[in-house]
Amino acid sequence: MDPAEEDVSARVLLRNVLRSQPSRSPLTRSVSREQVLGLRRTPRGKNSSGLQTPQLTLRHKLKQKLHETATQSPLPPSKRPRSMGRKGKTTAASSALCDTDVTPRRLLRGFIQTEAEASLLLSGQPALPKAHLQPAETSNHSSRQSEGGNGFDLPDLATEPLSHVIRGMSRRRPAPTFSVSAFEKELDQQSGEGEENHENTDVTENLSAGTNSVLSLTLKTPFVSDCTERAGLQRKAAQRKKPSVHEFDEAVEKQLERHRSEDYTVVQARGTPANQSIQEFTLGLSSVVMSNTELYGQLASSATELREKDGASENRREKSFEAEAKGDEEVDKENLNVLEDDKQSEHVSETSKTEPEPLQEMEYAEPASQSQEEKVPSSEEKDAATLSPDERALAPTQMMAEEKEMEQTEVEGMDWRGSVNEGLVYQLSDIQIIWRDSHSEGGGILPGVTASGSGRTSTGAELQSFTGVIPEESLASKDPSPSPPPLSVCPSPGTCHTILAEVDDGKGVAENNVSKLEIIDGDVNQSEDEMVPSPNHLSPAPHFPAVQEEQEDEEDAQSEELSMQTPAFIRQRKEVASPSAVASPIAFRTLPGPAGGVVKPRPRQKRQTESDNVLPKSYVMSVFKHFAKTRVASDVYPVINDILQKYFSRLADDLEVYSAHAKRKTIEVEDVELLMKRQGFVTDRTPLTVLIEKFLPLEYRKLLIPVATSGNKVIPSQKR
Amino acid sequence: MDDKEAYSQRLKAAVHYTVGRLCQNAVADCEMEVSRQAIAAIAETTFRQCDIFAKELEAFARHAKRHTVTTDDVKLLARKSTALSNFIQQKSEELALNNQELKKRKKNATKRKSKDMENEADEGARGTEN
Repeated sequence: MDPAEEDVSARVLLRNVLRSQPSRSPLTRSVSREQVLGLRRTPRGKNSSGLQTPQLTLRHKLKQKLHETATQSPLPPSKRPRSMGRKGKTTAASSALCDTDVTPRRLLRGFIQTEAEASLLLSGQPALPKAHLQPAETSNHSSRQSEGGNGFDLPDLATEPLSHVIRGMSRRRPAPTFSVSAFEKELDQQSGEGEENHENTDVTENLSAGTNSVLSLTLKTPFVSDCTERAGLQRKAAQRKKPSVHEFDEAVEKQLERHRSEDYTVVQARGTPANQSIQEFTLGLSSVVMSNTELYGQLASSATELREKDGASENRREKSFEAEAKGDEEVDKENLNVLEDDKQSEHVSETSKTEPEPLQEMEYAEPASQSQEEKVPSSEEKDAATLSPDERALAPTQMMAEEKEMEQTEVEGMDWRGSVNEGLVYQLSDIQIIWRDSHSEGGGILPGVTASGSGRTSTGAELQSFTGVIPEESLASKDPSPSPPPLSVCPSPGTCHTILAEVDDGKGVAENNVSKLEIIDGDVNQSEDEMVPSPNHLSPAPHFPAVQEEQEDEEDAQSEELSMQTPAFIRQRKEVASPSAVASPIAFRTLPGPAGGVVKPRPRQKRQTESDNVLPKSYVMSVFKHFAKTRVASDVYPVINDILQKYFSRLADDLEVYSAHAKRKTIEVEDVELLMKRQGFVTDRTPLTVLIEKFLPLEYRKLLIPVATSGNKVIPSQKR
Repeated sequence: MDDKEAYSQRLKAAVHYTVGRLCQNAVADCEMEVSRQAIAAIAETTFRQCDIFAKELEAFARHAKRHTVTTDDVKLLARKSTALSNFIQQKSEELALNNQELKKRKKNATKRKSKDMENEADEGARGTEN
């Protein structure tokens, strides 16, 4: 039986029935049914009889309810008018079924409540074909009702696929679950109300409400679902990018302003719109890069300032305040300690918060930085020279990293937060305090730094890995932070250099930048050393330093100007590092030691030996997750790394012994075979060939198992 | 097959007995007791481990293209546990020394023993004859 056919006929029948205004007695209804069915067929002999027993009527009612609900859900509200038809029917039915204590309303209600989903499906189909016919729907219901079980079964199967199709076609995306529950609620409410009111109205209300609710549900549910879906999807991407520059700046400025001393008020006033504008349109990596450079400049400047105890020479300030709103470095110098603590607490708390919050901080930082920028007429960002030691530099890097991450929108959940917070810090980089505070956030800085540093070589993976560390670090003590911040600073100098190159503020700037870079590099190196002894959660950090080193090298190699700037920068970094060492925790013990140049090779060697990952993180994690079959956190990677390291070292050891046992000097295939036997992979039951066939691609099989492709030769010719 | 099973059963019993004796000696120092199930478990484990050892030793010997299992194979086998490997290393050294000594003594002793044996055999033969 074709549902369409049935529907059409049902429609027609329903119309006829409606027009005829069936009496409110059950008999009439059954009679009408008979009349309707009589033309086409007699789906049920029982129904054909003029009178129906209460049981039969009950059955029919149930079926009708199903159909009604099914047809009702997809139908738009515009089809409500058909409820009128139902009115007559329902009223008649209700009156008719009073005897059986089963009213259409109740049936429908119960049906919807119990089989809501099914009804929705059913409704899907009827909706489509009858969408254009309001009365048709009602007629469908009625017709279906009249047809009873015959139409019910088939339509179910037929309607389901159609309903899906219909759904796809329709704009609405009903969430059956939502609609059902909401529908039930509405139904209950309305039914409750309806009962009290007129029956007709109630019935109609119920039906209409049910239908409306069903229909409306379809309308509503998609809305809800879309919102939730989009919200879920948009959570990361959209929200991150929005606040970036402005919010950060504002937050930074606010922060800075709080802790600024009198001297820095001037700086604030200077906030040049140019800087702001620059910052604004350099939202992307450039802004991050810019901010990075500022950090360095700030560090260098701050460092020099600290030593000289000058009010931050204008040159430095100029440099530092280039373009980005880093500002507060000068101010922060004096209040480094205070700011740092505050910043840290703020940043740490921020990390736990959502994006908007960190963005606000950034905003605070930005205004502060902007103020500083104003001091420096040259717009570009550069090193603000003052102070605060690595921490400040780190903060900006963090912020940058965060910004970058935000922009990349690929940051992992945890990392994302940490990075965002850090990024905010970075942007606030103007505030040295941020750097100090970022001790705990050092991890964050690193990613930020890498991000900035990799203005040339962006490594989202690094950032992510590092960001993972950052939240841990931030939450942990400040000790590890010193090391990370210096590391992070290193990359930023690279970026700073690029920026510096872009902006020729003057010789002083260039020189400062160079010195700053040197210092920063030195600091980074030192930090790297510190990183090594740092706790386990910093293990990814070593990876980071390696990356940073690479970046630094790349940066230095790439830009001539950078090379010039690095020395100054590094020098400044050193200066910054020394005072920061005092303030920072034990981690900085090694900082005050050697010069930047000397320090470089040492930590690099150490780093490489310890920080080199056995296998790429992405590969390891993907394989691990595949076999784990459950969700896997990303902080398992360091542990896996250690395990892999030990495993491969033992493996090589065994193979070496085996080859020696065979009085050979080279490891051969048979050594590996022996190892597999000892490991239990190859047994008497599973020879090596079985494993080869199971795991290796076909090409290898041909190569390793000559017999397999020899074409029935017992001793195949060796083609190796 | 039945013979093999019976043989293995006898071997298992022998191992069980020996394991029990060793456990008693080890426990005597601690003034504790070892339950029978524990001894049975240890004996079963030892028996299966012996089987594994044999297979691995054979594999090692074959890997070295030899037909005889030597001490080198045994040392390879013990690498898994450093303590055991050290112990075996020492033992092997001692054994090497002892072997050298024994070889010297044997040369002398065999001559004497062979003489004694001959004498004993002769006495025995005489005894039986009588």
